[in-house]
Amino acid sequence: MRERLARWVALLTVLVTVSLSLRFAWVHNEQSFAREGLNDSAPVALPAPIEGGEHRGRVVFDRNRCANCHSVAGEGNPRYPLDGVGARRTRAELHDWVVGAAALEAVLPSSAYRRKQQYQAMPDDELDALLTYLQSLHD
Amino acid sequence: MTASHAAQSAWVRWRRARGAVVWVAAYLLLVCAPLLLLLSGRVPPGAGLWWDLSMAFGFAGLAVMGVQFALTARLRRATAPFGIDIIYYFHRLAALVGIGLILAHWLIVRVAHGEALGSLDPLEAPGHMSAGRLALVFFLVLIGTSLWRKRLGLEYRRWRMLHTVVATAAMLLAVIHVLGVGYYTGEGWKRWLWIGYTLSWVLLIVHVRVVKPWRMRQRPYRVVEVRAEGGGTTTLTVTPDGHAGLRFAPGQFAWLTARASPFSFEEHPFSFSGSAEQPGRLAFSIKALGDFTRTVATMEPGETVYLDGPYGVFSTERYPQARGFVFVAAGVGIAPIMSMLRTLADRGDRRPLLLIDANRDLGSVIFRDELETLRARLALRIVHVLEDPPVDWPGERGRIDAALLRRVLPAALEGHEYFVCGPRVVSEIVQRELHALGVGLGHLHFELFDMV
Repeated sequence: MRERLARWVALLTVLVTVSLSLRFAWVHNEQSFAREGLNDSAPVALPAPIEGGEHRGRVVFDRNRCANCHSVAGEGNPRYPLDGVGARRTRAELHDWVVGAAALEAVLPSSAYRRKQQYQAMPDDELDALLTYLQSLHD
Repeated sequence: MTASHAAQSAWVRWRRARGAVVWVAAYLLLVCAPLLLLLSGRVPPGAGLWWDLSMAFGFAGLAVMGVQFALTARLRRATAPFGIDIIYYFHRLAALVGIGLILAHWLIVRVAHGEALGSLDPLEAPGHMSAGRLALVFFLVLIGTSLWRKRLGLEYRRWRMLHTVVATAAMLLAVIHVLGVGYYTGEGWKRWLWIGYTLSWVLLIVHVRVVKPWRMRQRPYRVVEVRAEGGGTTTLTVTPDGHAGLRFAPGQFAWLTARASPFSFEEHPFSFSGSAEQPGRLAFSIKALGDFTRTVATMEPGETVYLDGPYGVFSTERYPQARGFVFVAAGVGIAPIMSMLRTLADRGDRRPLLLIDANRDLGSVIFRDELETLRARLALRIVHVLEDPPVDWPGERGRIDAALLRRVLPAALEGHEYFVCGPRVVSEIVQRELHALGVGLGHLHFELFDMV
């Protein structure tokens, strides 16, 4: 009898936490649904084939595991998507964001800020290629 | 039963049910609190349904794991409506719910956005990601070592220490993981509330491991009698040393610490076997079955022991409206039943009682003489069942089975409450048979033990 009650409460715990989690997921995303409809999670149009400096930049992007925190066209961490970043930011701004310039300390989560400091040691030509790649990211 | 008596027992039952509902609701609220907190105020933009669902599962899993600290803190008021044994039973189920949510948290990210998990190498990966991974491994270790403690050859006391340390470490690592990611907990007040809430569960460890033992040390008990009962059983009688002691309901139990500090993990649960009407003398009848129980016979009057109790709902006291009681004991399972019989006798209770007492042979029947004297003081019928009886034994022989129960049970089963206590296998068989004979589950009482 009491065991049955315990099993019911465990089941109730599953139901309550899962429905609240669904609610949580919905609340965080309802604005983007309102904007873009339910197809939001479908990958954006395939990125145009990349070449030259942009291609080298993508290699740098992959080698530095930028996808741990960022996504491009739905690939990688969707928390901080970079789609369209080339249209929103100038090359100088992109540079500051990549290397975690001091002005961004208050804006970035501390773990992200610390990690970006490492990229200050990146060779100039690599950083250059990366910025070229980021500038090529338009919606 | 008079009308006022019936009304009174209905009142008792209603209050008990209300207590249970309130505590279950409180539990669910505590589990949901972190998600409700993160949903209040300004909510940061999401990153897709699957991503945010995964994060919600992580928070929910961690909340379930956090409340586990409260479930096992032996909080007397919160456990009283259910019985602490069932709380431990639930603790096991809740652990599975918690690990399910945490694994879902990891799995969704793994499948939908694998790149976001980054490197497994702790030298390369961000600290908070390694902390999260390690927390997951620790939670799995907790569950594995609990489900398979015996198979792993892990000694009980060692397991308890490991469980406490690994559980605490897992929670702290998980908190580091969440704060390192720092997304939903970004807003200042939410962050502090969430940290405070989550760490308060871990602080319960301080209550359980420091405050409570310290209080126990302030309330020692002195051994006044050590008596051999036969059948390898020893009755240890203790009396409060310089304080008021405790009041228990017959059938309840306490955790006993002997020849060790209350701060050690060396404590064992035993049923009170004496009358609840004589709270100045607390008796425990303990059979030598393991390392600790074998030392009980060597104890001497004057030694100090510590008690944490009383706990449990296995008691006639909870059923004042019962027309009669049926007790089924096997071996040392007679101990809590003896407490109920002695208490009923001291109160001059005249309700019909039946005791079915199963033992290996005549020599291993515990309290045989006293049971005879109790027969004169109570409306008590005793059926001894011996597996290996003497040749001229006129009574029941073999084991308790459906045929025996049908032979000896009262003709009218209704209105009786049934108490079963003995080794797990025996107890489960008897419960099943009684239920098959028409005893409702709500009237069938037993203690769950030996869960780890």
